Amino acid sequence: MERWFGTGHSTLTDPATAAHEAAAAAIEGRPPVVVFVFCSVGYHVPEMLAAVRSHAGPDAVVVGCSTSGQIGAGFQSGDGVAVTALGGPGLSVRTSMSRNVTGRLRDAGAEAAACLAGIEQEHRALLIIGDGLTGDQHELVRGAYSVAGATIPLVGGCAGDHLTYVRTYQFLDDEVLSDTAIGIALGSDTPLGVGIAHGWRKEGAAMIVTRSQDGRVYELDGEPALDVLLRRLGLDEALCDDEEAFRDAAFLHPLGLSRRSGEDIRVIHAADRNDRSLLCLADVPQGALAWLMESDTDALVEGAGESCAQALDALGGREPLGMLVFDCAARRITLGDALDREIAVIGKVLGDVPYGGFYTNGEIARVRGALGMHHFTMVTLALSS
Amino acid sequence: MNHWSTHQLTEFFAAVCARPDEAAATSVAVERATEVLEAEVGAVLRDGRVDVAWGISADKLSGLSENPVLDLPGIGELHVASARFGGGTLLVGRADEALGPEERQLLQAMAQVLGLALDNLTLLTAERRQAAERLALLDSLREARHDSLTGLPTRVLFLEKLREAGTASVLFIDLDRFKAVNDSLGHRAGDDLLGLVAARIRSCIDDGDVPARIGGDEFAVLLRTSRGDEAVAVARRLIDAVRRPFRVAGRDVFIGASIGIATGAGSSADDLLGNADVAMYRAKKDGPGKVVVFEPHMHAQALARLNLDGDLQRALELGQFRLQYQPLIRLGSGTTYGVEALIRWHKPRHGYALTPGSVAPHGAVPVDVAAPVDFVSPADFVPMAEETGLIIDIGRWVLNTAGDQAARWRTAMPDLRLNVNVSGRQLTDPLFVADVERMLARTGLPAEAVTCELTESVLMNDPAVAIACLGELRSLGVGVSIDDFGTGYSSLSYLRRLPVDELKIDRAFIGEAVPSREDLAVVRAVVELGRTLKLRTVIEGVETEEQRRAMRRLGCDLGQGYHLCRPADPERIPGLLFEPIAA
Repeated sequence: MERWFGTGHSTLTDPATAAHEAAAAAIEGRPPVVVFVFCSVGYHVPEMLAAVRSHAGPDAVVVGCSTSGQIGAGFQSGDGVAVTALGGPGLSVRTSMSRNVTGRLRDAGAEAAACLAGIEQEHRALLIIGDGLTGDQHELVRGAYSVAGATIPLVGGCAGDHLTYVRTYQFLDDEVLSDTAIGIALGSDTPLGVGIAHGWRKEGAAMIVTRSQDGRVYELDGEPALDVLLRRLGLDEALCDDEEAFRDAAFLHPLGLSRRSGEDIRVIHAADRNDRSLLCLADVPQGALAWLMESDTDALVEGAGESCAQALDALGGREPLGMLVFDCAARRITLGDALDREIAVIGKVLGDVPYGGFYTNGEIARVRGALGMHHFTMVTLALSS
Repeated sequence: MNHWSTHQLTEFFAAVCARPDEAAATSVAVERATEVLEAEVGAVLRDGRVDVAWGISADKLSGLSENPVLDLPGIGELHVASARFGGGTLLVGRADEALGPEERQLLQAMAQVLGLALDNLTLLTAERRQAAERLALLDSLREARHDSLTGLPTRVLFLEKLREAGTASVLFIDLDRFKAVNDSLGHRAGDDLLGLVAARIRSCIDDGDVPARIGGDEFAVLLRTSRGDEAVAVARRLIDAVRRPFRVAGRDVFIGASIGIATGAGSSADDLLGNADVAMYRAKKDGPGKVVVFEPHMHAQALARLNLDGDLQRALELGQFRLQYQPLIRLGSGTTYGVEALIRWHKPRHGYALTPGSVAPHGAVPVDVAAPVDFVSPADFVPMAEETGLIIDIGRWVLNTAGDQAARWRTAMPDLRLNVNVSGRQLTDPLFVADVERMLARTGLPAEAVTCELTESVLMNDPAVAIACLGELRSLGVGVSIDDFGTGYSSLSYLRRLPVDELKIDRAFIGEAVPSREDLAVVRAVVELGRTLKLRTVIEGVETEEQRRAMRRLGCDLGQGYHLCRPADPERIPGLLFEPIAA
C-alpha cells in the first residue's frame, strides 16, 4: 500500500453527520496513521470525534482543535469541520499532551515535545497545537525548542474560537480539553517541507524598539510608541477614542521585526493613551529593529502562494503528498471577501495535491534560527510521497 | 556598534541579571544570544566543558574546541563564532550565513555583559547570604529580647528600657506556689499559667510601663515614677490580681506573688533591678503576698547571704561541720535518758563575719572556741540550706555521724537514746526513710533508740503530708518528737492523729528564772495533754534550779538546758554522762 494524504470538509450543523461527511472524504476507508480534526466552536465535539473514530479505526491518532475557520478539500469555512488524514508506510506519529499550561508555557512546550523520543525517521517535524488564550506563546516555542533542538522543524498553530477569545479546545483521541499544548511528532522516511510567508512589506524607515516589556511597546526610537504610530500613519489622536476603529487601522499596519529570513509580524491590538504604549500581545524585544508594515489583498494572497511554494521547494525534488496549512485568523479577517482568492492561489501552487488545516490564533514555524512564533502569517508543512 | 545593539544589550543584561543564580543566568544568556543573533545553536563553555547548550545536546559539543566545526543533519555545517568572557566562552552556531562584523561585535559585547552579570550575581549571592545571616541574627536577637512564652520583653530588653527611662521604679515579682502548680499539673500547665500571669500584669499597669519576664516565675515591671507610694500601690494591685484564681488545665489554680520594689535616682539599671530583687527576697521571706521596698541595708545582708551560700556549698566537703551533743535528763532521777545531736559550723575566718557566737536554738552556745574560725549559728545557715536543698545532704551527714557516735556510746550505756533534728525538706525527701533504715542497719542501733525531732511548724505546715511521711518513719520503729512545741499553731485534732512519741515544750514557757503562774499553767496543760495522748514530755531551756524543780513537780518527764547540761563536744560526753548532773 502506498502512502496517502486525504482531506474532507463539511459545513453541516449536526456534529456526527458533519464529521462523517468530512472523515469519509478524507479517509476513504484507508487505515490512517493520524487524523486531524479542525472544527469551529459550537459543535458537540465528543460526538464528532466518535464519528471520526468510526472511520479512522482504533489505532489511528485523532488530534485537533477548535478554530477561527478551517480549510479542507479545497474549501474554507467559518463554521464547519475539516478532516485531514494520512497513512501508509514510512510514516510514524507520536503525541504528548501538556495540561494546565497557563503560567508555565515554557515547561508545557518541553512536555509537548517529549513525543519526539522514539521517532527514528530521518525526516522529522514537531507539530504543536496550543491554546490560543494562554498568554505568551513565544515561551511555548522556546520550551519546545529546548527539546527539539536545531535539527527538527517546528510547525503548528494555536486553537481559536472564532476570534471571540473566550475559550478554545484541544482534542487528543477521546479527550477534549482547554489550556493544553499538544505535541505531534511526525516522522517520515521522505522529506518534509516547511513554508513561512505573510505578504507584508516594510513601510518607511526602520525603528528601534527602545523600550518594551511583556508584549507592550512603550517607545520607538526613544519616542512614545503611540505618537510614532499616529504620526507615521497620519492618523488623528481622536482615533484612539474608538477602540474598534483604532484596531482596524492598526491591523493594516502591524510591526515587522527584523529577521534574516524576512520579518516576523506583530499585530498591534490596542493603544494605551495613559502611557502612550502599543499592545502587541506577543514578544517585541527591546532593542529589536522594527518596521511598520503594509500590505494589500494581492500581496496577502501572494503570501499564501509563497508559503506553499517554500514548503514544496523544501521537499528536495520529491513529489508532494499533501500539505497541512496553518493560516492566521487575522489574515482571514483582513482578506475578507478575497478569501476565495487565497484558496485559489493555494490550489494553483499545489495543483491536485490535497491540503487541509485551520485559521489559527498564532502560528508556529521554525526551520532556521531559534525563534518560531509568528503572527499574520501562513505556515505550511508539506509531506512528500 | 549600532544604536539598536545597545538596547539589545540592555535587554540582555536585564534578562541575565534577573535570574536568581549563575546557572539560570548562563542559560538565559545563551538563549538570548542565540535568538538575537538568529543562530540555531548557542553554548557557554567553561573550563573546557559545556556549561550550557541551546538548540543542541551538550554531548554533541563536548570535546570540541572553542571554535568547533558543527555539522547538523538537515542543516549542514554551522558558522561558529565565539567570544571570551571572564569565566569562559560564549559561542553561537548559525546556519547558512556567518556572523557579520557588527554581529560579532554584539556577541563580544554580550559575552562581556554575561561576565559582568555573573560577577554581579556572585556578589549578590554573597550579599543575599549575608543579608539572610543578618536577618537570622536579628531574629535570634529579637528572640532573646522577647520571651517566646509570654511575648514580654526579656531581661535584656527590660534593662535597655530601664536605661532609657531615667527616673523609674522597678517592681520585682516572684510568684508564690508556682512550683507546686508546675510539679502537680505539668510543665504545659505551668507555661499556660505564666502566659495568664503575664496578661494580668499587663492589665494592671499603664501603657508607658514596661512589663518583662526575667526568668522562670519571675517578672518585673518598669514604672515611670520614682515615688515609692505609687509603686507600692501598683504592687498591691498586682498582688490582688495574681491572687485571683487562674483557669489552668481545666481547674482553678490559686497562686500569689511577692514583690520587691526599688526606686531610685542615680542607680544604674542593673542596680535598680538587683535592688528590687533583693527587696523581693525579703518580701518572700516575710511570707506570701508581701510588698517590700528596698533599703540599702538589705544589700549588705543579701551580699552576706550570697557569700554564705557559696561557703555553705563547700562546708560539707571541707568537713567544716561538727556535732555537739546535749543530754536529755530525766527530771525525776537526774540520770541521762539520751542525747540530742546539734550541728555546728566551724567556718574558717575570712571575708565577712556572720553573727559569730550568736545564741543558737536548742539553747546551744559554742564552746571550746578555737581560733581562727567563726562559729556560724544554725539559725543563720539552716534556713539557707533548707532553701537551697543542701539540708538534705547536711541532714544525712548528721544522721550518719550521730548514729555512729551513739552506737559507740551505747556499748557503755546500752540504754542511751539519740535525738536527731530533721528538717521539713528532709522529711519529704523520698530517700529519707531509706537513709534512716540504712543508718540503723549499719550502726546496729535499735530503731527505738532513735528519735527524729521535727518542729511544730514543719508538721503543721502540711499535716496530711507530715502524717504520711511520719507513718513510714514510725513503721521502722523510729520515734518522733515535736520540737519547739507551743510556738506553732498545732491543731489538737491533728496532734491526736500525728504519729508522735514526744513533745518538746518550747523554752519560751519557762523564760523567767522563776516561772510565772501563767507559764506553769501552760506547761501543766501540755504535760497533761502528753499524758493523755501517752506522749513523753521534754522541757527545753532549763537554766535554773527553780525551773528544774517546778518542771519536775508538774510531772514533765525530761529536761534540757544549761542548768542540766550544756551541749558538749563528743569527746566530753562520756565523762558528763557518768557523773550525776543534778538531783
